[in-house]
Amino acid sequence: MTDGDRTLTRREALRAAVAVGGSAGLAACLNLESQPTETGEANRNTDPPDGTESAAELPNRQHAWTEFSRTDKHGNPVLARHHVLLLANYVDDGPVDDVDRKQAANAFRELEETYRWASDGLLFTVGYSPAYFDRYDEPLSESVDLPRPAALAPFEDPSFDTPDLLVHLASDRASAVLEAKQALFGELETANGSEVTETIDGIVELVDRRTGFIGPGLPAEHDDVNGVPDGAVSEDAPLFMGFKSGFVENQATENSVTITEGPFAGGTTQHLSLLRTELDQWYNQDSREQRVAKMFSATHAAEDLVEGVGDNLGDSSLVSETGVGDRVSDDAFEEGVVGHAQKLARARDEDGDPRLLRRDFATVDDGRTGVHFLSLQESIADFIQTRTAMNGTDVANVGGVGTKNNNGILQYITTVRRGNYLLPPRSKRSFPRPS
Amino acid sequence: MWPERDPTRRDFIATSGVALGMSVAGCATGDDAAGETETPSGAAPGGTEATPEGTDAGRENELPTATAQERPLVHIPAHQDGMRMVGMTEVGPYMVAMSYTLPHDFWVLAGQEKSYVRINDGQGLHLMATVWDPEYNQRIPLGSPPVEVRDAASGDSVAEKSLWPMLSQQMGPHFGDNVAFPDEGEYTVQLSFDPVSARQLGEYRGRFTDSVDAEFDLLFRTDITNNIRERFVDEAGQAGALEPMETNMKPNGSLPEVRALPGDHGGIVDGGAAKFVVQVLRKTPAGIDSSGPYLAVSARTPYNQYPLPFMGLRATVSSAGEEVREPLKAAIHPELGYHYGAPFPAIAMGDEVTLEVGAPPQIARHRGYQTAFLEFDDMTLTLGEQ
Repeated sequence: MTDGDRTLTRREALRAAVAVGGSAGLAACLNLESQPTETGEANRNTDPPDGTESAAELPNRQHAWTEFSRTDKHGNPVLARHHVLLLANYVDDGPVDDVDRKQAANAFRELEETYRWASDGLLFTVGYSPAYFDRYDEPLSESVDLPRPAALAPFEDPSFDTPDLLVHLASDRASAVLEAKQALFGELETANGSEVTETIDGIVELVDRRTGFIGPGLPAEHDDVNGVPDGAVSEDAPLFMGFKSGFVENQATENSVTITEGPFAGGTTQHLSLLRTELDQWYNQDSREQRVAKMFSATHAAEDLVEGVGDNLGDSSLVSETGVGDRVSDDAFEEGVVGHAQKLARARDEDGDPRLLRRDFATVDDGRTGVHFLSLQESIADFIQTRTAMNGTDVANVGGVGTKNNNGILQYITTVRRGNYLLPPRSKRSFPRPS
Repeated sequence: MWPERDPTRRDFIATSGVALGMSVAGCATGDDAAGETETPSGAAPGGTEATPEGTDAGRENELPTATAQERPLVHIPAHQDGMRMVGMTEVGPYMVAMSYTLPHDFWVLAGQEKSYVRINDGQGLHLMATVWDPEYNQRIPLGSPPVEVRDAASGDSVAEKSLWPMLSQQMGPHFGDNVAFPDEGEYTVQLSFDPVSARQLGEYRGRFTDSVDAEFDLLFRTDITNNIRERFVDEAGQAGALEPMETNMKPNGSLPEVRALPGDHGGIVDGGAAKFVVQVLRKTPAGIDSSGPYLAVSARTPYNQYPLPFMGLRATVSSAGEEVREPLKAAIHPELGYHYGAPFPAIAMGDEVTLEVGAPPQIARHRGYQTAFLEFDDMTLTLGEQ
C-alpha cells in the first residue's frame, strides 16, 4: 500500500485502511493481515476466532471488556488497538417500533456470533443520547444521569453531538472494525467467514464515522499529519503526547462505573469528546522536564519519576503515592506549574477511587492529531466533576499558573465536540425504552 | 555596524496597512545567531526547537561580549529588529494589536525550569498580540490566547497553537510565538481571548469575563520581512534595557509611575533584579469582599517598568506584635494596573512588610530578561520609611 510516493509500513497501512473505511479499506486490511509479519502484529495471519454462539455466555454489561482484553506486564488492561465510532440516527420520528427494535437486536447479536467477544475478535458498545430519549413521551428513568452535552470550561466552545446512537467498535484487528461496520450496515454478504443476514440497514442513517488507534508505535507512525514535529513522538508512545495513560490504579473499575439501580442497572454512561492536540510547542519548545511537570507534576519532574513514556511507573501514575493531588494549590504558588494527572487525582469518589474508566484513543481524522476522549462513568456528573478538576480553574490565578499557562496540558488541547450517551445493559441494547 | 535605516515609504505601502519601522529586542542574525543556524533534522522550517540551557547548543547562544556570569541580570541584548503592524481592532473590552517581526529565540518557564527555544531555518515570523484596555490604557498581560493561521485562499490551517505570554524589552508584555509560513501570500490570523483569570478590581470589576475573538489579514512576503530594520546595539550586555517601542499602540506596556499609583506609598524593595512597589489603599477596591485596607504590590522590571505576571507572591505584615501572612493574588485595576494584592484589615504605615516569592514570574522571556526575575530572597521594608 502506498501513500503518494511513499511506501507505508504495515502498521501505518492498517491504520490508514481503518481511516479510509469502505470496501477498499477492508480489502487492504485483509490483504495486509494475511501477510506474515516480523513484528508479530498479534498473529493476524491466522483467521480471526469465531464468534459466541450462545448469548448467555456473554456478560450483561456491554462495557465488560477488561476480562476479554490483554493486560500488560504490570496488570494494566490494554485497550484494543483499532477503533471506529459510528454516529447514527433512527430514520423515523417518534418512538421506535418493535419490529425495528427486533431487527437491530438481531444485527447486534449476529456481530457477536461472527466475532469472538475479545480484543482480538471484536468488542463493541451501543449507546443512546439524550436526543434519542426525547422521542418518547415518558422521561428517562431518574436512575440515569444523562444530561445534554454542555461546555465544561469557561475557555471551551465545543459543538455538540446529538445523534440517536453511538456504536463503538474496537479490535486489535483493523479488518474487524471495518468489516463489522460494513456487516452492520448490510454492505457485505459475509463477514469473518459467516453469512451476514441481520443488519440495521434501513432503520438507521449514519451521520458520522470517526476512527482512531492506541498502542505503542501507532502514533509515531502517523506523525506525518499537520502539526506533528517529525520524529518527535517516541516510538513507544501509545498516544500522541508521548506518555502512557490508563494505569489501573488511576482508572475506575467496570464495577464502579456500572449503574446499580433502576431499569438500566448493569449499564453505564459514556462521554465522547473530540480533543485536538497541538504538539509543536509541546515537543519543540517545552523541555522533557517541563512536559513531565505538565503531564504529571513538578514532583514527578524533579524526582525523575517518569522514564520514557512512563512504562516504569507500573500500574500507577504515582499521583496518590506522592501525595501531589493534595498539593495542587501549593505547587501552583511555589512551583509555578501543576500537572494534568496531579489535578485529576482530586477527582476521586467517596471511597477515594477515580470516577472515570478511560477508553480514549488517538486519531488523525481530518488530517490533524487529536484524541477521541471516550470515558465510562456511573453518571455524567462524574465526568463533569473530573473535567472540572482538570480545568484547574481554582488555581488559574494562583502563583505561576494561569487559565492555561502551566495549568497541566490545557495549553495544548482544544475541545472540539462533546456528546453524552447511555450504554444500557446488553439485554436492552437495542433501542431501549426510557424506563 | 549597520547604519540605522528609517522605514521607507515602500515599507508602508508594502504592508498595506499601518506599518511602523520600530524596533524590537533580539533577533536571529549576526553574532549570537552563529550557534543557532544548525537546524536539527526534522525541525519544522521557520519553527522553533527547545534546547536545554547548559548544553553546548544553549551556551553558544550567549552573547560574545560577556559571559552569563558577568552579565547583569537585566541587560541590553545584542541587537534589535523592526516590527510590522498587521492591524489593530477593538473587540469586547479589549484593544488588540497584531504585529510581527523576524522569528525570535526565547525562553519558556515551568517553575525554575527554563527551556531555550531556538530559531529554526526556514521562512517564518514571530507573531505578537498586544492587548490592552482602551479606557484606562492598562495592558492585560495574562492569557495564552489560541491563534489559528489559515491560508486566505484555500482556508488550510498553517498553524494552530496558544501564544505564550511573553516579555520583551521593547514590546513589553505581549503574547507571541514563532510561526512557519509555507509560502508567500495572504493569510488570516484568528485570535481568541479567554476570560481573564486575575481579580478584576474597581472599575474593572466583571469587565473581562467573556471570551472574544479577533481576526486579522496578514500578508506574508519575504521582501517585506527582509526589510524589517535591524541594528546591532553598542551597549550589548551592559546593564539596562532597550527603550519601550514607540508605536501607535497605547499604552507602551509600562506600569503607571510610582507617584501616579493610588493609595499611600509604602516604599520600594528590590529582588531578583525586579522592583516591588508597595502601596496601601485605605479601602479595598470593589471586587473583593472586604472594607478594610488593601496591600498592593506592583512588581515590575527595572528601567521599563513592565509588569511581572504569573508569580507566587506572599506578604507577611507585622503590626504591633501581630503577624499576618497571606498570599497576594494577581489583580488588574484601572489605576494600579496589573499587581498583586490582598486585604490586610490592620495594616498601617510603620508596619513591617516582608515579601516572599514562590514561583518566579512564569512568563516567557525574550533576550535581555532570560536571566532575571528567577531567584528572589525575602524582601523586608517598613511602610512609609523610604
